[in-house]
Amino acid sequence: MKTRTLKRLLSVVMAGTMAAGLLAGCSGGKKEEAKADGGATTIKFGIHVANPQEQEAVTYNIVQAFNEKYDGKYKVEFEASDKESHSKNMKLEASDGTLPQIFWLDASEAPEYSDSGVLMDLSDFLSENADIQTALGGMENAFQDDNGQYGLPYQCNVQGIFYNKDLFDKAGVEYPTNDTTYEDFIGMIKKLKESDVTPLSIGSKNSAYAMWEFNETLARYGWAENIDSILSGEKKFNNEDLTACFEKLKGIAEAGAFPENMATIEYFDAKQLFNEGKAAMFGTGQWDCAEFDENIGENVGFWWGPKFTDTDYNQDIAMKVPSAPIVVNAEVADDDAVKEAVFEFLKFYYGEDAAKISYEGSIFPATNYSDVAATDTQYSMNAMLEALGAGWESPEAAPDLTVVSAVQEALYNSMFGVMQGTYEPAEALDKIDEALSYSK
Amino acid sequence: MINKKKKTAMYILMVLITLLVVFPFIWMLVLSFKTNSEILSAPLSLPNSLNVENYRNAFKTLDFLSLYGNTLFVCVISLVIELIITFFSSFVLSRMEFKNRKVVSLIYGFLIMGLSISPFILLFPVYKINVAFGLRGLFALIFPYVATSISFNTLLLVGYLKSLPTEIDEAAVIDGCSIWDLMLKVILPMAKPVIATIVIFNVLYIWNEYPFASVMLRDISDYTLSMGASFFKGTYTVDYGGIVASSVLIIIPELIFYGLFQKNIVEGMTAGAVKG
Amino acid sequence: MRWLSKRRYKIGLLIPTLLVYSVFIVLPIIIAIGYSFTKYSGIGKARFQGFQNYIRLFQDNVFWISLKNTMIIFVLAFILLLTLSFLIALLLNNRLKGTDFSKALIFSPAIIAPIIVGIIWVYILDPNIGVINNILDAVGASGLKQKWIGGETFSPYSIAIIYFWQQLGYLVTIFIAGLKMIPEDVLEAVKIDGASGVQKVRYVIIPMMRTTISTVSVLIITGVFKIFEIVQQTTGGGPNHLSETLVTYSYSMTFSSSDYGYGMSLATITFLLSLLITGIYTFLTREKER
Repeated sequence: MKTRTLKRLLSVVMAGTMAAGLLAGCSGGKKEEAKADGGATTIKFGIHVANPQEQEAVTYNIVQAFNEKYDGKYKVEFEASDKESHSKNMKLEASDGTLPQIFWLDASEAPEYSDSGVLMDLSDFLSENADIQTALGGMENAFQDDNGQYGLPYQCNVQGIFYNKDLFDKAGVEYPTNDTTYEDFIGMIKKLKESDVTPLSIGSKNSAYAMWEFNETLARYGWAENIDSILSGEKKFNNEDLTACFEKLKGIAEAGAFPENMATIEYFDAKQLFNEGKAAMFGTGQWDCAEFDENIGENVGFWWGPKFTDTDYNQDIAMKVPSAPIVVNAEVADDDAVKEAVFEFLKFYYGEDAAKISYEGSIFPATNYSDVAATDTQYSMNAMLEALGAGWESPEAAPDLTVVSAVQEALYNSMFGVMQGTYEPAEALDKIDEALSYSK
Repeated sequence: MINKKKKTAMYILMVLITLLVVFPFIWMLVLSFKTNSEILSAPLSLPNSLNVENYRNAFKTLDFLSLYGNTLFVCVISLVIELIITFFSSFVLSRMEFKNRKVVSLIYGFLIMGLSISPFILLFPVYKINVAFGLRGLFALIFPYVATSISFNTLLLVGYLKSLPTEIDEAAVIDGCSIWDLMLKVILPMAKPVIATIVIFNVLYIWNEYPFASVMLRDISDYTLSMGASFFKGTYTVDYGGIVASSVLIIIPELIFYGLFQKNIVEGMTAGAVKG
Repeated sequence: MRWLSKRRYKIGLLIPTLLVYSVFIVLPIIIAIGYSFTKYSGIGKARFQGFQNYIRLFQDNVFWISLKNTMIIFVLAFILLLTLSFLIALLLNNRLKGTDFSKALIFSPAIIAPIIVGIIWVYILDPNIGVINNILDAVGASGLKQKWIGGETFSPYSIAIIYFWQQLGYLVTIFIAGLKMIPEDVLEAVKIDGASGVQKVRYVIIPMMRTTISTVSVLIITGVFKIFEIVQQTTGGGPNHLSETLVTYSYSMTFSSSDYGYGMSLATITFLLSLLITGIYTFLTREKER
């Protein structure tokens, strides 16, 4: 008995010392820098999903195509984790200088990175590649500040309301058009509701960011015109225009547009209601096109949302805006080989081949090349292209991406508060003002 | 000994409680055989067919061998370190004599305090401390895991060791035991049940731990089991079937492990503590 | 024993634990508390701003809501868990066939990853697709239907129940380990004296289990102040922060709103509150023992 205990103890101690030894041996070196790997310069691409092959298929395919084309010369590897972890990780890596060479950033967080000097100015890249600058067509303007061009649009987001024509037909409701007003929309919601479908699917649990269709509403109440003066303190969020705007959200909610359990379903669940024909409309962007083609097919339609008659601001607004930026680590500028690889990758990423890959995956690239188009069976994408055909102008950035994260969260919270009946419009707007005052 | 009526009543109660507790667990098994849209749109129904697609998907997406291996590696090393150090310190706090009893309470209170801390507060600072020590990859997880277990282990161990009669020590001293003999040959065997409990809790904690793992691990080859779920939830897509199926696969070894150790608690106890 | 309690033994055996604990728990806490006095987004440099975050906190409506929710969860979960896990441990501490199996099953919820616990309970509590409301509909008691989660009132209560379900097996296991410690002969002696079951529990088992009971109490108190995933999965703190707890709110401020300084001030208060309640509990039970 005694010897057995002793033996056990010994083995435990030995394992402990071994572990300590391993620790010591392992703690040195292993710097996460771009390294020559069989001659190829490897660069890391930090992305906001854990499984890019499934969850960001287009980007994955572009990277594969790039790696194939430059086999043995350059290589791009993903540093992948889910959005929440990615956001934490980038902050931590910024603090100890281990950021990947290229990485995706939330648009509301990118300016802070730029201020802290960890991002490379990409003005040179654009001036060296005039064709890409032309293809971007101004999309890059959203990511400029005093430090220069701190980022480039990852993709291009087209946001609005998708609708299921079948359900509209069954309810005897006409499809929405570019001239449909808010009053028409309310009537539409009521009729759809009577036909026993959820008129407009939306979920607020952990997905307050999923308010894309209302970016258009904000834009039509003069967001772009007023945001600068609000942020500088001249005006308040709680102003006449936005109060009128939030009143409309309340009206839509009171007409019964949303699922009853919107507080306990997430964006994914809300989308599922639309996919299965239980909801007539769903607000989102082009990233869901492939899913709708599969589930709804030719019955899918796309609409920018209602026009408002009680305001003088421009109503002919589309919502084709840059998505979050991808940015380059400032340290890249110090290493010519790495810089060359990064620039080659960016050239490829914003080139025509990548745009083609993008279209195949039903994603609008940030670039515009005349030869690239959707095929006939990409119903959702064609519906969007048709809406874009009106030729309306888009704001430089989506309204929710023009403010810092704390204000952005407050904006989301306030909008859903009004939609869920927890806040009155004025109260909701006060909360955004409050968040803005604390963010300074 | 126990009359029949009472026995039946106890059985009924036992079964009832067990069923109530276990129901959601069974449900999870059921969910794992349903397609994504069945899960979302008809959550209450039974699956149409015994659909193993979710499992096939889980195996395709996740490298279970590496996930299990990494988790086991971190688990074993952390466990060994934390058991050794907390057993020693708890022995001092529970059975050694101090001139000033306040010192003991002070150290004990200091060590217990950590129970009140929620792990995400530690994430950023611990990351920076790890960087300062040059700890990377899986090794970056070991000390945080050891550290977070200290409070819990101290609470249980000190409580338990205190309750063992002091006569044992005196008898051992008279027999001429050294301090090591006393700790390892007399007290340790008697503490088996509580150590088994601690092992179970510590292993389960490490097995399911997500916040530290998600922040400290960068290389996909270092990922631990708890990170598996994130492979099924993207920014725009979610695969509930995949999440549930991979969770079932993560749980199975835990169940086996618990089954093994649960017996140990009982055995360790019935072996009789008052033998020394 | 005295002559074995040499100073160098004591120090030598305590040092490893104290060292790891100080570096990986205490130091981070100090750093975090330090940040609570700054304005910091997580990137770049933190800016010292004194007690401003704490002043903001006391004026923040959501802070008071999450404090209230946390206290509701605390009271409900404490009462339920302490009494029921003790009773169930008594029930399971027998030699009937199948007890081991039942013990293992009761423990099983503790094994499920917290994220899955949340998903499962959404399907039970959701006002539209959840089991409870559907059953109430089916038996014609639609009037009793409630927004168990996602409404304005019931969320904290539901979260307490879920937490109870999740923790029950853990605590039963600790109680059983404690019960096993009571020497067989003590219980036999009581039996010969002719004590009834209730008397046995009241006068023999409870006094002898004092350490175990206080261990479990401390675990419940500190555990409640760490509940995170359950809330995140069932309501996400919503609608509009109404079901937020202190931990989820400070998480949301720290990471979703990138207000690291403010988030850490919330976390500091949560930590202090949990310490305070644990302290009060220890103090009160000490008094009784005398």
